[in-house]
Amino acid sequence: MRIPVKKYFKNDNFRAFLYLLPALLIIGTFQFYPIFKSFAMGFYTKFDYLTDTVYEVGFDNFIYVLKDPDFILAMKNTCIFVFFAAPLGILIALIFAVILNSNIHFKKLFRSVYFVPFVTSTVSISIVWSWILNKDYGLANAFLKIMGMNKIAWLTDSNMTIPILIALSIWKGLGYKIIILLAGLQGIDQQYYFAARMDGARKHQRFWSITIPLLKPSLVFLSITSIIGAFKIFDEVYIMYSQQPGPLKSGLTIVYYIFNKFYRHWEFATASAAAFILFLVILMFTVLQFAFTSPKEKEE
Amino acid sequence: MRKRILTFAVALAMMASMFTGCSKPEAPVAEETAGNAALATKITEPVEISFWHAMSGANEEAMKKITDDFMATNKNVTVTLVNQGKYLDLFDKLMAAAKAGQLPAISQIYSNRLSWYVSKNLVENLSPYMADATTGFAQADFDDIPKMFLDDGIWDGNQYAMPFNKSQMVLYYNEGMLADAGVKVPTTWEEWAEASKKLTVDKDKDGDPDVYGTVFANNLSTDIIPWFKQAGGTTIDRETGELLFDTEAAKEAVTFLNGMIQSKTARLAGDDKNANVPLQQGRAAMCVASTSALPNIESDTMEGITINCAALPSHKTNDQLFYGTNVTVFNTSTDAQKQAAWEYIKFLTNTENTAYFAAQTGYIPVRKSAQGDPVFKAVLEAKPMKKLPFENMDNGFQGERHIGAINALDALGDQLNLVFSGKKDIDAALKDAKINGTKAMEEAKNN
Repeated sequence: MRIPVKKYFKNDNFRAFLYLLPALLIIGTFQFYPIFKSFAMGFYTKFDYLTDTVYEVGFDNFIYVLKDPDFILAMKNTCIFVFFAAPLGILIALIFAVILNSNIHFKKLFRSVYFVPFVTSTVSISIVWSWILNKDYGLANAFLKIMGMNKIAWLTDSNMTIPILIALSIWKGLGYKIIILLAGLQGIDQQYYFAARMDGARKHQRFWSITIPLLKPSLVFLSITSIIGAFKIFDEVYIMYSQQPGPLKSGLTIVYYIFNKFYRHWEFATASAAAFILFLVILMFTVLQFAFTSPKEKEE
Repeated sequence: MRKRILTFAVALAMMASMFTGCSKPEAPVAEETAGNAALATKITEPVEISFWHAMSGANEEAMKKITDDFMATNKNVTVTLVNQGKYLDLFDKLMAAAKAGQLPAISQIYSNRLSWYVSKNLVENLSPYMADATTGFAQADFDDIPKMFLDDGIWDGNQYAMPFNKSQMVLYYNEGMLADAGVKVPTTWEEWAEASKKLTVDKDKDGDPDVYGTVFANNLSTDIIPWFKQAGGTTIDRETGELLFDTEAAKEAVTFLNGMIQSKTARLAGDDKNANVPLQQGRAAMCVASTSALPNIESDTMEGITINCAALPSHKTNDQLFYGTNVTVFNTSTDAQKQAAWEYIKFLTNTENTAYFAAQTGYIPVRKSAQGDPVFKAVLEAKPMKKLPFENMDNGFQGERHIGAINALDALGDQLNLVFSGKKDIDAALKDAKINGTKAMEEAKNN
């Protein structure tokens, strides 16, 4: 029997599959395989890490992680960070994008200025920020002094950690978000605005009824990527607080927890269990966002 | 239908990629240690070894010079020095290399990290190399290296690591400030607390001293041990591995340190990151730091400030903490590489080279005979501070190294931070430190 090879190649689906195959292999090896492995390792309760010999399996690691006060603290810190950093970041970017989209001078200059933090490495930014926020020599406190205010122990006061991280994250991500939103804004047909004006719609009405709905795809994209990114915060804490999770663990985030368990404490299985829990949390948020933002099917 | 076929195909590809990864045969990374047999190896052909380290600046330069000298006299051996960043970066990379079966021939490592590798049978026993008639040690060599340094590399009677860059925890002080306040260098806890109080200055009376009496390092987890020992206790029982965080001695030590911190006559380094920084800038009168900070102190101290150092003030005992890394040889290399590694380590730590390294850096020579070396002798005369470690070696000890000790001490460090920030009382904190530490130590033993 002859295998009709040609027939397969003529099949669009099969050809599409072949085109996708290289990417799938790479994603499979470097994304899905580690997810699968870390999920499996989360169940190892007695094992040899180096030889992958497993003596005992069970749910102990997941139970340990979920009961660990440090993990609960990390989850709390991360959730507070996500709750503020993601929406505020988008909101501020939207305000700047709308301003930059109007007829102001030096538009291009502003656009570049906002984009600089995004293309600068997080490590350099964190080092510069830790210098700005130094209690004795920092620019921040020098500014407060000029204003006649008292010094603030920015980096050693545990209450300041999350606000600083939120500010840093918003500032760093601003440029990227502005570019995405500007592209979205420029894609809106001016005809809609003309029509709305003719109908007597005011500025804010035009904004809420035309700009926002037509910008929705960009906003949805940003909200999903921002939330995923915010859940993964690590570098900023690691560098700014000299490889410590902030004063009194106030900057302990989930990824920091995983890193600490894995590299510092060599609790590989616990780290894997925590990593898988983080994966589930992010997955849940992403699915929820898709569910809430996907266009509802209209009845014809 | 089309969509379904496509989805199925995508899922199939994903599964395939997963299982190609899974079906890899589980080859053990560690070679079986050859025991004492493979010692006849001599270097007759070119051999390359790499040495992973975390030394930078003057330390790295000194290492390079010694390594070049070694290669000039040992033409068959090429030693590649690989700077892996800071200590923690080095340890992260070592762990990843152990998993990938790509450990270097030689690495710098702390004993509290090496204990895991020893338990995994990844470390070469150096005792047979030391016993070798031609390339080994003579009795004089054994006697020359302080016992606490050699002991730090011994597990079950076998030498798994050799001392390399050692330092001592000392009390640095600003000579001028002490003289002006009429305070003599403290030698006991009581004198220290008193001196710290007298030396603290709050010019504007805003409750935030401009000059603190004493500054400590930020993380006192592994560094808390000298005060525990001086109060008659220790952190971890060396034999049983039991955590002794909630003993009377522990409580006495923490009460003493916390007393100074709560009365604002002492503080942790905080923003300054290292305790010696405020001392160098005249914002502290004393600080507790390692002798390895000496080059920084020499180069970065503000004009008009003279810094000297003394042993840590004692209490019930006069235990003095020595720390620093050792060098180890992993058994994943070939016999020739291991032999070359041993010969290099022997060269690196001989009298002349340990004296040179100590002269160029803030570290201590790992041989007593270095004091007679002309290079180091001149340094001792020029910098009397360098004599201090020799005077304290008899009271010296090195930290604990049980598997999971770091995790347990981190749990203690977390609780100490709560105490020092006034958020928890000492009894409750030490009790929790023991509970959390024991749990953490158990967890670390599972792999």
